[in-house]
Amino acid sequence: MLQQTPDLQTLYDKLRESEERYRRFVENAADIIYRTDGAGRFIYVNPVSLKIFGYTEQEFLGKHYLELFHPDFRNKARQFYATQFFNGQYTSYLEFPAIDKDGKQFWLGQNVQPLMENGQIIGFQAVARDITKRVLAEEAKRQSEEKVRKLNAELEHRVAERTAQLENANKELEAFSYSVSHDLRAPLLTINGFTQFLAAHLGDKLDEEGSRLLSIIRTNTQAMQHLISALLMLSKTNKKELDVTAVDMTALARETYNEIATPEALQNIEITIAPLPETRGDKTLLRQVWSNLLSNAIKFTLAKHERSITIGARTEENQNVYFVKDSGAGFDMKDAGKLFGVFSRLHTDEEFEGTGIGLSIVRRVIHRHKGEVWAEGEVGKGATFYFALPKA
Amino acid sequence: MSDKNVNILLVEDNPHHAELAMRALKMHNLAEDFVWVKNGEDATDFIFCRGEFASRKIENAPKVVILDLKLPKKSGLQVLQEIRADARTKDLPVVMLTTSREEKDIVEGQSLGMNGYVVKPDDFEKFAEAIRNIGYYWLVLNQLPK
Repeated sequence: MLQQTPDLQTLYDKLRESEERYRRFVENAADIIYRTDGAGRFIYVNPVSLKIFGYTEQEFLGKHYLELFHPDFRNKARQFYATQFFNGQYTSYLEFPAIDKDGKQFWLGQNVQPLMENGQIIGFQAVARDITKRVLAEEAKRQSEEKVRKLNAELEHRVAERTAQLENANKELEAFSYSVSHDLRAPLLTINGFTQFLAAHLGDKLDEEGSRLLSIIRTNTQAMQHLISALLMLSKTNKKELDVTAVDMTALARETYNEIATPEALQNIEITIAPLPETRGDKTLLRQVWSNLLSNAIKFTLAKHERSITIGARTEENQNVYFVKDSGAGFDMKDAGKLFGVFSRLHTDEEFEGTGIGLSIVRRVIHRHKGEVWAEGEVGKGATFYFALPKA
Repeated sequence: MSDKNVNILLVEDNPHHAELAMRALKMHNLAEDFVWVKNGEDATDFIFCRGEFASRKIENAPKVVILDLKLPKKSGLQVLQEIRADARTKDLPVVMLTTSREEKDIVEGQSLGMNGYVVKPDDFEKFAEAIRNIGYYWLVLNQLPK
């Protein structure tokens, strides 16, 4: 029997051997491993702990575990562990800011287990790992997300601000056009009326120079009238709500031409109107488009020997393209971009009269119909104005 | 102001426009018994025989009131409203005169019961024609039954 009982020395050796393996494992581990007594004071720390915290073993042992926590976090940690163990959760994981001997802060993720003996907690053992990189990356991500959120909020705020500014500008513009219609037209009527009475009143008493001066006044008053009317029309094109119906473009183009063509034009210009595809749009505004394009064509064609205007169209996949082609004065393609701007004119008053607003009205109307306008031309060889309207 | 018959009451704050209107009416021999007041306050005083016009009789109402929309003190629309609110004057012909086609003013004038409106053209010939038409229609063609 005795011989079968293991030798105590052998048992002792085996135990030592196992402890030695365990110790080597702990001492070579890359993670912090420590043990505390029941009060939370260190009774064992592995070499990595010393290296990471910068304490000597002597300094480390006997310290309270909370001393390794950042002061701001100590209360929280105390509460956390109290709650954990009170609730009987004997394994807990906590991430916290730690401070080393020099007061440098870094982050640890720590697993703690209580050590039990006879149903009593006699201490704790823990494994902890430096997670500073991950925490900082998360913090950076959080900060950048916060930054994006802030930027978005700022952007929204700015958009709202700009919108308010734009609304203000629009209101001012409306007030301006109201003022143009009321306050500028009133004196114009007066000038107009009284010049006429002056001419009638003075009658024969006016010499040639007097008549010439009066006629200059009248011509300029008329020019101002046209300008104000065109400006008003431009502002109305923006404000007016679109009243969309089916529009017979062939009829509309023909009607408009007959309406605006002077007797001189009707007599001297050869007009061709090809069948045009029907469209959907605001008839009043589209009439304005034809009116402005055709009166331009007439104006520039009458000055030439060869006088023809062609109205036509082509059908594309998503849109109908309408055009007015004239044999008039034309323009240099390098000026094509300027044609549709407000007050932008390519000719002087001596060459051709105009307000410089007609084509910008055309552009606004077509844009409001979600279409496009453009022009092609050559000096002396006529111009073609196109507008495309989306198919209904 | 004597209590005589009045054909046209012109309410117009712009003296030059008033003169143009008068001249236009004269050109067509329609300016007889023409009265001009400069603001809405004077217009209602005239129509309801108050203040300066207290000696007038309300029965001798003008045959037509040509009423500018934009007036100092009391607007044209307010004047129209008062005219329509009073049983004695509710049928008085009122033609509004405006410098713009501002739709909201015109719609409001219509809802208040104006008899017509004329947008002041900036061209005098058209203006004269419009004034002549108002005078001709209300003084000659559209005599209210006595």
